[in-house]
Amino acid sequence: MFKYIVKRVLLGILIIFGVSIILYALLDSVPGDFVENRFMSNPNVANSPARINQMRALYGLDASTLGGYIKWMFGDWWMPEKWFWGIYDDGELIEASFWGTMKLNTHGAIAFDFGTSFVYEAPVTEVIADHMWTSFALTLVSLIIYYPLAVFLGTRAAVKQYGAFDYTTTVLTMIGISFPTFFLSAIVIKIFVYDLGWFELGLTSPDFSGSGWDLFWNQAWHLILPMFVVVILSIGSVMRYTRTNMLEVLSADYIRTARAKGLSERSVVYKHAFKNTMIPMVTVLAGLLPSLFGGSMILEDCFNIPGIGQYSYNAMNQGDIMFVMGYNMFLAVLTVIGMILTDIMYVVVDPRVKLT
Amino acid sequence: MLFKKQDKTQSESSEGAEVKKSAHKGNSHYLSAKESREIAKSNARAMREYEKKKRVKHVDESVYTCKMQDENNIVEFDDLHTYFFTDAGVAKAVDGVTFSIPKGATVGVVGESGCGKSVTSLSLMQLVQAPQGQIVGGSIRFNMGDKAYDIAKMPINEMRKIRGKQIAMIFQEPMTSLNPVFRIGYQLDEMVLLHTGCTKEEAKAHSIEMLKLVGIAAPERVYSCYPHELSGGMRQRVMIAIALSCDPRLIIADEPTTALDVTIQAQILDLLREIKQKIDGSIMLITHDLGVIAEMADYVVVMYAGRVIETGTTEEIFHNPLHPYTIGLQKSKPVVKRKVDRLYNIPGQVPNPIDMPNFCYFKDRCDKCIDKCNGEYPHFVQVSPTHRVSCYLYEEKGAEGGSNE
Repeated sequence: MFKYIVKRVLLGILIIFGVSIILYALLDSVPGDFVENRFMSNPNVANSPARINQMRALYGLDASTLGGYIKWMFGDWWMPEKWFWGIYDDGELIEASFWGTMKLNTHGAIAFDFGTSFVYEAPVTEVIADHMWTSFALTLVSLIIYYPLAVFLGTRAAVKQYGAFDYTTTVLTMIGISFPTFFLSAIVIKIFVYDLGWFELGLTSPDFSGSGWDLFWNQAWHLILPMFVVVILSIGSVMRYTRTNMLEVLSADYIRTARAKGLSERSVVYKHAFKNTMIPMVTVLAGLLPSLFGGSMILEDCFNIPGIGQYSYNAMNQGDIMFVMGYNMFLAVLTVIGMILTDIMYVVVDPRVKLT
Repeated sequence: MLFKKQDKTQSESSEGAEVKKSAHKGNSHYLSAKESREIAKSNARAMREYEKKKRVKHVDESVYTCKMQDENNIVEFDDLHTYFFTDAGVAKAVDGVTFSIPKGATVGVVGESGCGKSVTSLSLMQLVQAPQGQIVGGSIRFNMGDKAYDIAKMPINEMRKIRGKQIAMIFQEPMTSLNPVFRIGYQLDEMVLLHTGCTKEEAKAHSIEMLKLVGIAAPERVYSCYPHELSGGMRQRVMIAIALSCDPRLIIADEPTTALDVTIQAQILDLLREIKQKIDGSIMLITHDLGVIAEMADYVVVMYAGRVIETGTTEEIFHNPLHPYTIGLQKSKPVVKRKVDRLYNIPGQVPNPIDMPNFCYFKDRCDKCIDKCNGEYPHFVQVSPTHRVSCYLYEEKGAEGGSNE
């Protein structure tokens, strides 16, 4: 078991390295970097290519893709000064070195220094840590609501297969799955925020100045609508999954044995079948880890909630390569941990599985 | 190249059309969209009706109380009909089965796969896969000692008290018949706790005793094992221990040795015989292995396509088989010391029990078919007080049929 986990962790580290290379290459090849996005519209800067070059150098954006990645990953504090140079002609950059023209003395992602976010002008880790918990609270509470509900509905639907309850829940949850996030959010906002005026957008009321429990209740009130949307959107897939699993288990031989023992239908379904159904369900739960902390870009943007999702969405739009890299690495690490947790969960819930 | 390709697709498509056409002509089970819609509709109606009947909460006991025809029988199947409402039509899996199981006797039910043996036994437990499978007619009288119940009419709530306690079942697949996520001990205790209302400690002691009874060497260790930690034979022993733990009056063994290898088979059969003597109950043994029947059974019921075609004592069936199907079954069994080039096999397959015409179902595979066989389904001919056969060959001859071999 221990050996297995060590093996998986080492493999995970390898995966994360691979992910970071691909991500960096992709982000670097996106047209329009941060400097262009921010300063090209500024007439004072736009007219002066020299100023643009200076800015790029300042942000460390003038290195080649590979050089930039190495600097991002391992830092440039150990690089000799002479590696950084540029050939200028009349203030215009003709050729920058492989490593760019300026040493920034960063420590690199390997030392958990993900650099400073261009947009938010603060260390990436700090921005993530500050805004992660809003998203976490939003997703966790929704998860606590929709997961048991979906499991319950799925079980009921499977037990009464092809009955009225089955068809009703199937149709309703299918509608839920089919809605795009922004569409359902827009409808909900239109009805509950603008027409009825029961809720507001944002995380806190604009003129609110309380703290402690007052602040908590104010924020909780603001999170109700987004949670509602998450529940509606997510309940369908889990419910369908439970239903399929349950149907499979209910047709198993050991369920017939349980019935042949004279057990009531209730204990056949909710004891004998349920425990078997829960094996895949619990493991799916462990796989939800990244979405728990990662937030939802579109949802948070729709409801103007300053969670990690909205922040990364803005950063992405503005070409903030540092923040986007940091955020995506965060997700990659969570995904890898989630995968390992899934395997461990199998051992916990299924007596037949042993990790070696 | 291109032309070649075209040719190929053409020939393929014409082939496909042919297949379709022949399916339409030759196969009577080809359904048009309209027909299949009608089937689905009538199925849904029938299933809803039967399910409703089963789910009724409070049924007066008098509705399902009946009288045994013979007090010495533990179970009497009387014209039992169990149908499956499938998308292709109504499959008459059990179609008018009549036989009885005397007290303290072992009755073997034989037949090929798909003859309705298992469905008959599942009907007795009301365990037929619902809602598709339903008992639609006939009665199953079960002797409770002081009274008798008609299981075909019993509501599920009452049936639960009989399952496990009065009738226990051993299934075919020991590998999948135990719940993989519960320990053996829990699965054993559960049964005892449910039917006897004793304490947990008593249940545990009883379970360990049961494990000992079925010949498990280390009952305490097995008690805390998960099913996957045991071998197939061990699991079948555990299944038998579960079945026995409430002293049932009837044990249904549905091909208990089919999934096991030969040495374990012999052990399990010995065990069953031993146990039958100990608990003084009856066994309904379902198998397609005639050797097992010869060794174990007192009476034999031969089933074919959902009907009983011959019944009698084991002696009668083995020394004087009458129905061509029974004769065929015996011929297709290897016998020690008899040399044959090729083992006999009955040509053809068991017919699909949907929309069966009213003549002897075995007619098309029978080598002794006579003109009369085109008539309606043959009635039973009583050859001896215990021996009955449903075949035209013996209709007039009656008892003379005994000299057939």
